[in-house]
Amino acid sequence: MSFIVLQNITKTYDTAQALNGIDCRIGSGEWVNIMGPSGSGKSTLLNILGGLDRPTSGSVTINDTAITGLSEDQLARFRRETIGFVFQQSHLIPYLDAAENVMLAQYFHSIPDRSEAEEALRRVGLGHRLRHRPSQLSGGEQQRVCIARALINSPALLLADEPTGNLDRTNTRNILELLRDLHAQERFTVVLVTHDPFVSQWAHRIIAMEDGRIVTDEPVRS
Amino acid sequence: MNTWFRFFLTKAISQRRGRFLLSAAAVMLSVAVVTALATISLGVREKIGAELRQYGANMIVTPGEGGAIDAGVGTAVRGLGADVRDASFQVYGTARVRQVSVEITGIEPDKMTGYRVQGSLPRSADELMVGVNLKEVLQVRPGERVRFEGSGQEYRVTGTFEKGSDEDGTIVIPLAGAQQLLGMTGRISAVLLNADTARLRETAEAITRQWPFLEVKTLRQVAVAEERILSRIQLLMLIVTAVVLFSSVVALGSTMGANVIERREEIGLLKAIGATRGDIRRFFMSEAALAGLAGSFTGYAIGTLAAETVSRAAFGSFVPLSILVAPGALTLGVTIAAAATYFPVRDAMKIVPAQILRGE
Repeated sequence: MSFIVLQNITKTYDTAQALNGIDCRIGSGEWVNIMGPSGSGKSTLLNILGGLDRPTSGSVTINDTAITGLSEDQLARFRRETIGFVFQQSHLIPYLDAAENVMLAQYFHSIPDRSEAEEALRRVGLGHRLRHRPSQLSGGEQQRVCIARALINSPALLLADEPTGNLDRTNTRNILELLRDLHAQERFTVVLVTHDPFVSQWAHRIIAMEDGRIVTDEPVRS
Repeated sequence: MNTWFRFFLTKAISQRRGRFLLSAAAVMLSVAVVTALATISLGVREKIGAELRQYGANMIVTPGEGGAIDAGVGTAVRGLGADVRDASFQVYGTARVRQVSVEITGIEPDKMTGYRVQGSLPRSADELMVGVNLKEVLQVRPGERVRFEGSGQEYRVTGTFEKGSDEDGTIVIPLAGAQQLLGMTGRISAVLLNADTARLRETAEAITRQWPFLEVKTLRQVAVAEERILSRIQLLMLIVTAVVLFSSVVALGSTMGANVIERREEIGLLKAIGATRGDIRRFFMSEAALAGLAGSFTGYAIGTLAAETVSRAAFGSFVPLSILVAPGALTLGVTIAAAATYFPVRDAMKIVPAQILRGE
């Protein structure tokens, strides 16, 4: 039984065809990296998977829920229950400290719990940065806060769009190791978009895209 | 409002203190102007009414067929109700003095207003003042005593007066003295009323219903002039209020709009982490409502102060505070802040979060 089912997804922006008939299935607990050059449609596909954008045609089913048929507010509720996001830019709320940024995700999901939020930050190695605001954190630390925020509500699916795109090699490796450990512990499904071959090797499976189509879909040989 | 909602709202406001204060200041300005104008506008009717009352009555009650009104009936008419703002008794008659037949007007001493007097006003029952047109005819000067033919009563001339009306050819005597001279003790010729101009007809009807033998005439000229001045002042206030309100809403709208545009990324992020449109609207609208409340309270205080200062300068006294203005000002402030925020937030929420988060 597939956790994610994409059927004949197309996405058209004015005259540009961003996605052109995507069919794909992803199993529960899999780590899939989507690779491709800039403009290949990989971020568009990720946004459609997360319900942040809607396909022009086709259907997306996640954990047996056809999200393409949901209203905007239903989608929001689905996201907070099921999905965690990590973006290339950290997108943290500047006036909240690290713990409060994590607690904000708890607030929309259920009830904020500072001790849980702080524990999540300790797990990503930020136990000493709990009360720091985003502007007081390095790029790598900000991405760790984003990972803690994405995983605080134990989502079944983690969507990451170039999460290491702004980081140097050392920080990239640290973030990927962290994600690998957390994935191993919690077995959530990961769909990660990258154009970096180094990052792509950390997945179970790599989907390569070009011009809005899937050109290869292969497991990673360990 | 739950604890965590309050927590995140407070954080957002304290981080953006400058913007919040700017929004509150914009609300404050509109509320202050509207409060000041509304307070003056509501109070001005009373104030100007009082000013105009100095120039005379707008209704006259007479016995109808040449008789006289019993002073008791006059007192009852005077105490008719709230619509009667002021009343005075007068007696009229003729008497001969120095071989000239002159008209006598008896007026209550404290109602002798609007006279330009050389000398002083007559205050006691044996004093009088002479109209400027009679001064030469009678050859009298202030301080002299005059004796009326027939009754033989003597009165001291306190001064001469000019009013710019027919009254300038008469002698004015305090009511008691005139009643005595004319043989009308306990009776009066007319009750001059200053009634609420908006309820002149009702007041006249009430008098004739209760005392059918009385005749009531409204002095339309005075009444209409009073109403016209009040209406014009209120129209002017209304126009100024509308202009100020419009400008303030536009200014507030752009401040709030800029605030929302600056926070588009935040809106996109909140959507991404599971906030519904209602959740986001609640945050922004609550922030606007708080700015509206803060601005309304300070605006109301400043507006009231301004109204009292203007009233003190224009009328020499404070304008009464209306109980309608405070809740009105509060509602106005919160409403304009909410309206100025609602539309930018609604537009911002139409944007697809993916676009905002990609920085498009």
